[in-house]
Amino acid sequence: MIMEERRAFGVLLTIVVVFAIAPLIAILIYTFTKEGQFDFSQFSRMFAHERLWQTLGNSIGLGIFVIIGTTIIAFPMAFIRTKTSLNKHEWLDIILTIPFMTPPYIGSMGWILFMQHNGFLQQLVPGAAWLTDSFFSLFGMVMIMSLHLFPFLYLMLRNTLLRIKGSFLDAALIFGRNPWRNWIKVVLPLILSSYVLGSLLIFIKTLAEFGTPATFGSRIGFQVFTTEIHSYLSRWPVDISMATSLSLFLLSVCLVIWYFQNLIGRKFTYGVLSGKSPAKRKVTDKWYVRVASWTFVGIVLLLSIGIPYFSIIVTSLQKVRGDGLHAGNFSLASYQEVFTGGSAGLTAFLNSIVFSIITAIITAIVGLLIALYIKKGETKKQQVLDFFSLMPNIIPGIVFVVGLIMFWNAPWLPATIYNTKAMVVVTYCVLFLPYSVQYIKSSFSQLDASIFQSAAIFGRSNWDIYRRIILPLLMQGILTGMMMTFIISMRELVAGLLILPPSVETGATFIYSQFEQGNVGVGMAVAVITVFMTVIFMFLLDWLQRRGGQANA
Amino acid sequence: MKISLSNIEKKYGQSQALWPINVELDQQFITILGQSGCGKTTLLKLLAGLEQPTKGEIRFDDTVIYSSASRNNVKPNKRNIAMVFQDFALWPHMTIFQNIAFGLKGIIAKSDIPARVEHVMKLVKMQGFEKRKPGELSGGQQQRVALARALATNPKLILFDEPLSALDAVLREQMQDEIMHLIHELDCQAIFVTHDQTEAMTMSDQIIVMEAGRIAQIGSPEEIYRVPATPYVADFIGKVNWFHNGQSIVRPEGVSRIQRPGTIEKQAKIVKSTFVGDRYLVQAQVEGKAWSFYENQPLEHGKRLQVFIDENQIYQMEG
Repeated sequence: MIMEERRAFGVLLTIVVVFAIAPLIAILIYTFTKEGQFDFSQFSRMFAHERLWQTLGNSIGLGIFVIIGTTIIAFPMAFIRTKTSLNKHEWLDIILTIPFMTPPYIGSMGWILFMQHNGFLQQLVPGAAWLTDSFFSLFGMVMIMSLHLFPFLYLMLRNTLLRIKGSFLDAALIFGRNPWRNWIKVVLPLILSSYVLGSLLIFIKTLAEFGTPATFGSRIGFQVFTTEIHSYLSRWPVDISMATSLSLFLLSVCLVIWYFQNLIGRKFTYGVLSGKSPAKRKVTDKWYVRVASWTFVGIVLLLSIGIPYFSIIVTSLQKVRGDGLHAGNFSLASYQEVFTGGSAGLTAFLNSIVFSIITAIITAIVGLLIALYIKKGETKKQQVLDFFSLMPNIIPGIVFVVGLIMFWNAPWLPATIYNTKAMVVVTYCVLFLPYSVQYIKSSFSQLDASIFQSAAIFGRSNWDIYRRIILPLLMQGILTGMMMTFIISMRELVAGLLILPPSVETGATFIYSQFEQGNVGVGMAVAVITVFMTVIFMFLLDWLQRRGGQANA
Repeated sequence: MKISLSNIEKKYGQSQALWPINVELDQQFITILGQSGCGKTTLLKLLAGLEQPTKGEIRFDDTVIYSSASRNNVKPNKRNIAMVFQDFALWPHMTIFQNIAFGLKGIIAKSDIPARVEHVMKLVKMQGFEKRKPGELSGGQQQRVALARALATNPKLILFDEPLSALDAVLREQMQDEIMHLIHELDCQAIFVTHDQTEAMTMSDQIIVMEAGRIAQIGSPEEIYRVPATPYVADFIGKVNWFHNGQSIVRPEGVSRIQRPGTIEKQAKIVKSTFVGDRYLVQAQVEGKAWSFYENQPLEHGKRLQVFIDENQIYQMEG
């Protein structure tokens, strides 16, 4: 080890505790004390509000509907991609993750621009005006969020379906009486546990989501936890204790769900998966299966990528929004405005890039140290650190943001980073450390123990072993983690809204405020640039992982 | 039942997994023997209907099971077959009872199912385990249940895909005996895929030896041992000593140090002697080839001596 074992643990634990645990403790202290005394009244005050129950109902209802929505999209998609002739089109998978990687607020802005009065739909098909009213409702919100989140569930289901031991299905083919019964009695029970886990994660992600409720939900007066917390902190009259109480409540709901998820995960997981995916059989479908499959894929791609991307691209190119879609109404003026030196859009965008790069570098270093310490998580200490560093995955981002604000505003701190740009980077690091840890851990777990043993025997010094053997082998995981961190830092909205120092903006907050103020052209130009950068990074990531896969094989 | 394959071949993309095969199988216990990757499991899966041949026709007696010409393909569950898998493939979320009953639904009356399950569980000596789940059983027990599931539907043909390779040696021999016994007693046919030549020799009435996607030889265990069709088969089954420039072979038991009428003399240089339990396996150099034969006493390394080949046990390879 570079550092002595115990000291390493101390240092890493201090980092994680100060940056990730302290904010949560700050929320607890702020909620339950008043002038140094224990005080429950602030927390109980929350329950007296009629609005809390409505918020709770809205959030949970939304979560359930989004589970249903993502299931409707992800389930057939996973089936089509594994059981029909579409199973050979690997490129579909990377296309299908684009909606998930698209910042959710940009997706919903696209939908709003498309569906609103005088939106693109009414310009293209004037007869469809009646759709507008029915779209601006809970239905539309569930649809937008489902279209954003379905890739997550889809990939989980697809991987399970692919890796179910081939012989389970072969045995069903031989002994079963009809295909439907085989599905219901054999295949569905075998993928059930992975479906339940996936849908609970969808539920947590829906509860934690801010972008769509903030853009679309605010138009239909549908408040959820995240938007309520945001408005208590940012609208007059500011009510911090309500915000922390709500954060605590949201945190508890997520922890309860996470507990159930673990329970189910342990109870219903059989050894159904084989290590490798069974050899693909060439599938020949009936023509109507093929037509139906492609139609379904086409509709999903149209709704999840086509419409939102069409809306934001066209809006960014329009001269006058009211003038509609005709040849004379297009120009690059918005982009020119963005790329003029010193423009608000460009400054905001560059801020985002700087914050994201710094975040990516810091999380990569800290993540690497943590991953090297955790190794395979065999000792108690390693598991503790593993749990703490992955905690931000379960806890909604906004809760951390509120906690960080509370913590860095504490009066006893001798110095604070609050209201500086460093605060933004610290917040991003706390929120996105788990990604880096997870990617590095997973490439670490692929290394065989013999690599370390042979390194220990042949290596000249510990430092040499790390520099020449371990680091190069982990490089792919480190790079993947950094890119992923960069992508999600670029799109982070709620942290920026709450903690950015005055007069500093990021790309995300710029897009959001431009949209709210109705100045959509420039905002959408920045959105288009962000989105295309994300897509390019995704293809780079895919390429990196493919290359890594070949190198390991 | 007579299983006929005519011009059956299988391609995966450009690679030919099976070259056109024409055989008729009518013995009770048939083994497909070959090294891994020779196409033996592919052939079994074509018979099961889990894979489709690229071309050709399969018949069970006079019934066409698969035909590329008439686009006829009977589904696996309508072929009246059963299968025992290498990894057992017992569905982990069902109890043993449910696993066996799964294939019975619609075949026999619902009220008769418990009795049938009990009957087959008795055949494989697993009574009392019906309420357990597969995860609670040992590998050997799981394979017995898998066998019970295959027997339950009274199939005409049971396909075994290397079912014993996951078991240890003692258990494997015991299961070999029981499977043979059950197949003969229940009057159904078995096609058994294995890479273990001893297993194939002891169990089968008929062996299909496969090499690189082609059938190298079909015959009874005795034929395959005494009259191998190709050098590959000769080398693959048992030990073999080559002479006459690779034109003649003799098995180790045809070689001895005692001169008798009707024997041919050869000069041998001893390489080593290995104790194999009841006797010594002697490896030697004869005419530059590696030979082996059995002796009651170990022979000294480097010793030169005469060995004698029984002319009746010499087989001339063709070509």
